[in-house]
Amino acid sequence: MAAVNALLAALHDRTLDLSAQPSMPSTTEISGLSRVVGNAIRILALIDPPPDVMTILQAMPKAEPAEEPVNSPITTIGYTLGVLADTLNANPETVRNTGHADRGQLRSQVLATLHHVATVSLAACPVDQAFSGPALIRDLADATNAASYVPQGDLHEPIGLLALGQSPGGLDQAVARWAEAAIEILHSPTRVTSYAFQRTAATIATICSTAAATFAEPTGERPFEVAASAPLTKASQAWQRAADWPPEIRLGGRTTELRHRSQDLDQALATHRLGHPGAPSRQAAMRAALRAAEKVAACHKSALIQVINRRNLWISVEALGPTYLTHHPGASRSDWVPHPATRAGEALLDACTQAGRALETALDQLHHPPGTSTAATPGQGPRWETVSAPNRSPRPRSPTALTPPSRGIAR
Amino acid sequence: MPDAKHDLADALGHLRHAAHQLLAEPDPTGQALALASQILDIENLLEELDIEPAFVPAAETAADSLATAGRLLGRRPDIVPSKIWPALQTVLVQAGDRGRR
Repeated sequence: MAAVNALLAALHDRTLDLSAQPSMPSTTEISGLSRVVGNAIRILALIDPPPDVMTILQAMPKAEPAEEPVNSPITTIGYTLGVLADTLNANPETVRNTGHADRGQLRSQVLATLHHVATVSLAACPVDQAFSGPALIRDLADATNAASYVPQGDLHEPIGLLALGQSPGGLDQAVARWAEAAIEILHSPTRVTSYAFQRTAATIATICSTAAATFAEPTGERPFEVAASAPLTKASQAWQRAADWPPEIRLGGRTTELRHRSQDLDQALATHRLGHPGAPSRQAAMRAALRAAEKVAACHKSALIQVINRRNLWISVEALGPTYLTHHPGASRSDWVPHPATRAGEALLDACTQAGRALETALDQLHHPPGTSTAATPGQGPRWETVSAPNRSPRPRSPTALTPPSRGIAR
Repeated sequence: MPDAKHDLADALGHLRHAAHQLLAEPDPTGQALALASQILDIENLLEELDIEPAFVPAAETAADSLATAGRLLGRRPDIVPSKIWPALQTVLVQAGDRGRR
């Protein structure tokens, strides 16, 4: 089911369609106004309704549902408001805790819809039989007029992301699509961009912090997952540092697909945080997300090594200072030039390496917590096991040393 | 008034500073990370217009950098893609909220 922001966008579009349609709706069609009014009342009652508007709405007589045509624009708006009302009424706590700005935005959008519906209805049916007279509709149009000038905008999370019947596979799918897009762009030496590096690092940080919060929820079953929470928080901080590129360094290009997939995943993670604390399915979902993050992290590092080795990073001439300009009289301060030194690249690679290690440590903690043994599981009797030298790091580590540049490709 | 491309390049430069300032600060709640991610997405949208960022002096705070970027983009409503405005409004409000806390 669509989230609140998607419903508000649909409401906006359908209201515009209603106002823009060439012929005015018939009296039968505007009988859908009753549903619009009923659902608007259900929404406004949650968010400090304007008393004058509520008085008008409550005075409007109810029409029989059978009188409504199924596909009229006003009926469609009524249904959209109905889903919105159901969604908000299913989450009264979230609505109550929403800030003034978002409540105001939501109220304005509902009132703006009422204004347009009332205006169109008034023009279509000045002596409507379904209502005692046009006076109430005219009053409604007047009372909601100011709200029709408020620009439409998204609500912040969590209210903007509320939805009825969240899809159980939502997070898994969002993670899979994100990982696929990230790995694909990171694997391409000619298409990878600084945005791709920064955004994948930031998303890995978000996955780690969401996992840390999820594993910190008390379940009473798996105490070692609680123990993984602190290293995951450290991993999140390390990946945040890896996402931080100095403004004077860049690698330009288009990365549209990754942006869409990253935004989808952000939404899925935000929705995940709103779920029921302690549910085992939440921890399973985060384990899967961390596995995907680990793969993307490995790609991130190998791609960064490749970019640095090939001197594909660009640096601002302005940041290189007057000495560079003296030695390169043709250069302009506003130019970007292929990166002539490796210091910035080394700093980026160091941050990426530290972040990779922090994630590895957190995952080791999650998969092989101290004090637990895979040799003896509950219900099994004692058994012999072969003891060998410890090997706590089964994952291959990529080389971190920089090799000489191969060619001077730059974008 | 400087040309439009210059304004957009400067705005992109300020957005880059804002993301950098947010990602570099201690962030126990994850708010700075979330905000920086949204700013990176706005940068990416501008880069789709083939805008090269200018390397501009950093403002004092991320909120100041964002406000400057917003002012510069606001001078060019005719060429800034419409999908940038809601995203920009969101980050400006969030950055302002953080600054007041």
